[in-house]
Amino acid sequence: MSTILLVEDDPDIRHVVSYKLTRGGFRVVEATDGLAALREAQDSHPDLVILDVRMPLMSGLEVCRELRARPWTATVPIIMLTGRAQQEDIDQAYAAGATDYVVKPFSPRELQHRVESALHEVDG
Amino acid sequence: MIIREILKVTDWAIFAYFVALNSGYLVLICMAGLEFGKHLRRAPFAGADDMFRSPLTLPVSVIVPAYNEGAGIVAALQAMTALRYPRYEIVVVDDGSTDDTFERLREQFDLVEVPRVVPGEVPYRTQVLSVHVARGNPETLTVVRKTNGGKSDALNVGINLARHPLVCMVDADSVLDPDALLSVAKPFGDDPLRVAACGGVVRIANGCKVIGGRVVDVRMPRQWLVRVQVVEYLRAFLMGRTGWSRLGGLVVISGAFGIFRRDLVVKIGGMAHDTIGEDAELVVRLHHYLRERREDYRVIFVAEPVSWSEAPSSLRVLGRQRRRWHRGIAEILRKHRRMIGNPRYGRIGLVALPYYVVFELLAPFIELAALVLLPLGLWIDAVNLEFAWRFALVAYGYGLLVSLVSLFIEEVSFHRYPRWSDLVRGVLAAVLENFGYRQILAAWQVTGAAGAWGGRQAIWGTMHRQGFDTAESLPLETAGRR
Amino acid sequence: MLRVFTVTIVVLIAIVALTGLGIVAVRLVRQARQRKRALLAAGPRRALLAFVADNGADGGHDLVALPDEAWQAAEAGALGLLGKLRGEAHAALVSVFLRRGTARAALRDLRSRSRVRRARAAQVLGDLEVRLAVPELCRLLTDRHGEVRVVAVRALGRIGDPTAAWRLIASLDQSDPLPSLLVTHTLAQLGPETEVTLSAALDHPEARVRAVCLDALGLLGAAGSVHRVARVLREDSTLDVRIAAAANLGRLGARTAIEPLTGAVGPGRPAPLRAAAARALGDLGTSAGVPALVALLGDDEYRVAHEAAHALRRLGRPGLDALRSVLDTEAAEMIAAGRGTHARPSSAAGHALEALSLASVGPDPGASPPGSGTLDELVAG
Repeated sequence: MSTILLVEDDPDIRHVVSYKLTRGGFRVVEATDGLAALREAQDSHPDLVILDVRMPLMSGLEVCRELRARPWTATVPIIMLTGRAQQEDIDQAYAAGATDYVVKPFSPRELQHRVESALHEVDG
Repeated sequence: MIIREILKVTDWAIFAYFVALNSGYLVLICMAGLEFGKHLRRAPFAGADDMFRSPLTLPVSVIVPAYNEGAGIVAALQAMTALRYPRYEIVVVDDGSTDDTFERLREQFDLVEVPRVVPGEVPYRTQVLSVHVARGNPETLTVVRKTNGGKSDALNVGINLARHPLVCMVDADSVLDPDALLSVAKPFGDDPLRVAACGGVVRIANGCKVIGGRVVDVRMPRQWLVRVQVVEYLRAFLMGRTGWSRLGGLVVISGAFGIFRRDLVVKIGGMAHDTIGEDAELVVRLHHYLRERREDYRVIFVAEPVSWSEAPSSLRVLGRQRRRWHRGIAEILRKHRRMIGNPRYGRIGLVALPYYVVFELLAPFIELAALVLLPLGLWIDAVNLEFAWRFALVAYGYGLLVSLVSLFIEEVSFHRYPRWSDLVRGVLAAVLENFGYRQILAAWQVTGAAGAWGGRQAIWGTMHRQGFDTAESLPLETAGRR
Repeated sequence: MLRVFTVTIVVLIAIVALTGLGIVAVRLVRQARQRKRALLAAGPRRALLAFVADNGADGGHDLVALPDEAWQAAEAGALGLLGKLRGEAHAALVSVFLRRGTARAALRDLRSRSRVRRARAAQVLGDLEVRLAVPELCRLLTDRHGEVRVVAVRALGRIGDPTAAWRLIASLDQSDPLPSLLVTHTLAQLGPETEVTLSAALDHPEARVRAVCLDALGLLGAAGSVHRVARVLREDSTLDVRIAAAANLGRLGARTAIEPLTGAVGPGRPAPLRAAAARALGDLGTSAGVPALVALLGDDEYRVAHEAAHALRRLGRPGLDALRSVLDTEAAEMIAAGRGTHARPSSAAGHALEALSLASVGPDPGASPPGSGTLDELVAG
């Protein structure tokens, strides 16, 4: 069973995504800010990370860069969640090391598809 | 005896003054209460999310003057880069720091030097040594090194290098709430043709849990000296300014957190060097400029997104701060004396500025006079004891009431202090304020004002080597004489 | 006299005591209310989240059947959820609201006497994307109160019905008009069918209207309007409108925009216009704009030279080459004039140098991210 690290400070979104993915057969580890995320990443070595761009304490882009700097998350798929879809935001996300990008408002089903296909790519 | 009569009259006059002062404050506080209610009722449809998502939201340049801020600069900037606002840049102006401020920044953000051409839109007096940008984020973080020149000069250099139409001036040791920038920039989006400047409330960070440059737990400070300041800030900053904002007479925006239209700041020449309260002076000059041109404009105060500052915890530092603040008030009022009582400047000239002269500038003088004249009157029998203690009780009691009403309104609208113990501490601090604090404050303020009138020039040269005091910006109403 | 004082003191003490008690009472009441609401909302909230996560597969009936009190407690959260979702989950949640009569109540409230109710109703209708509400919302564009008008504009943008375009444009032309950026964003959200209306409005007598329409066209990427916009750039009577035209020609990205823009940077035009046109040439992304931009590097106006230099930077290889050749030429001239390479560079060279060095700044893939050291401490501790 794959482990997904979900980093999101909005409780509603966190619960919806967590619920969805758990029902989809994944193990979900949650973190509500950047520092907690880095700790969890170290503890649980996730297979995929879902990361919100705007969070307290540390911006999501910063967290992404940090995750890429650590050996256990250097190559995992990182899907960024963001409220803005301007070109510069997208560019920044990819520059920080994200592999995919989902815009809020988002569709839970679509997010699950993205997660599954990202993990599939890693396997296959 | 004639002296007796004079003293009696003077004592009554002082009494009337205190009653007027506190009644004025009560009015402002009630105005503020109404404003908070209005603001909170509108939260569901205020559109903060839309503002965040819109591609057209005006970008902001956040200018951070820094002098020897090595200890906290990295944490402060990390928090600032994580603010919830669509597009903004941060311009840090290193005003000739002698510590490792720049080195820390360079290491943390991987700074790279770029040969930036510095425009001279706003005059500045020192020399720009080098301009650096963050390698990973060149459009977002710029750090300027310059020779030491004081806060005004640093801000002016920052304004020159700012790329966006709105500039927000933030102290390096301020801790901002994540939505602070969004809320304080919102009035510009809602009323773009009129809003010229907007200020955010400053609260005291002492005692609060601050992690990674963000306040995560709000608590009352440990020391009574600072607790009293918390009550003072609530009364004067939060309530006083919101009240004035609602009345359309907001004269001051705290420099620790204020946002301005860049084009207007450039037009009026940027920050002045000849006063200590350069941030407050900027706003007064803005009023002057816009009223001269009969423009329809607004200066607004926003109560909810907060900037947190470390307040002085020792008498020595507090005294220095308050002397400087009051000196600043005196200097600004003198510099713009033509506006006082002048109908040409509308509500600012006719109501706000005269109020500042009578109830802010002169208040400590009256307070000290009362402290001297009342006992004197007792001694020469101009007033009897019965009268005297009742007099004092009413005067101080009314003041206490004003503070408690502020605490009440704070509890109804924002209730930022969740613990019951902190609530009790707040009430006790409001009482304690009358026993020593306000008296010493009056003495400091009188000294400060005297310093301004004594003709000693505020040489920015000597000021800057002390660096910037924490919470040095000029609130003007913290006196809160009662 | 003494009596008066004593009475005053007693009154004061009473009020002080009352205020103190009031503070305590307010806190107690609020905490009790919050607890109650949290308790009431807990169940419905869980059900809502599960419902949404399942894309509304089931659980809808239960939510619709919830007693009013429980729903009230959870409603604010549910409305907040609406803004965060898209697709089937969103549609399912909207249908729950509709079946509970929320939209009907909101439509009624649009005519309420209280402006707070009107505004809140408009907000809800926008969140629920109720197309039926569009005519009423358009009516609110001329509401007495500014805050109601603003919510109406946002709601119309959320709903995205192009039939609102004309009314929105008209609302810009009134005393105390709507904020331009808001209207622009909304117009852009109405979709490509709005292009025709916007294009036609470029002849509107009011300058603000023309500027907003230009910006909306730019946001929409309406390449078909390039000629109209170019005409505005050349002929409009208001400078700000011409500046907006220049900026948006850059966003439209059509080759046919090059000629009008290079015309606009020519000498004799007002500086802000030339700066905007220079910037737009950079946005266009084609090397045809390079010669015109190079000519601007030495301009007296800081803004113009600055925009030109950075426009060249954004144009990629051809622009950067041009910048470098400017520097090389100047260096050669200096040597020829015997001044040496350490002489003060001309302003053109200054801007070129600035743009070139900014172009070479960027994340270095080989280097380790900065500052990981401090973070490691924070994470571990």
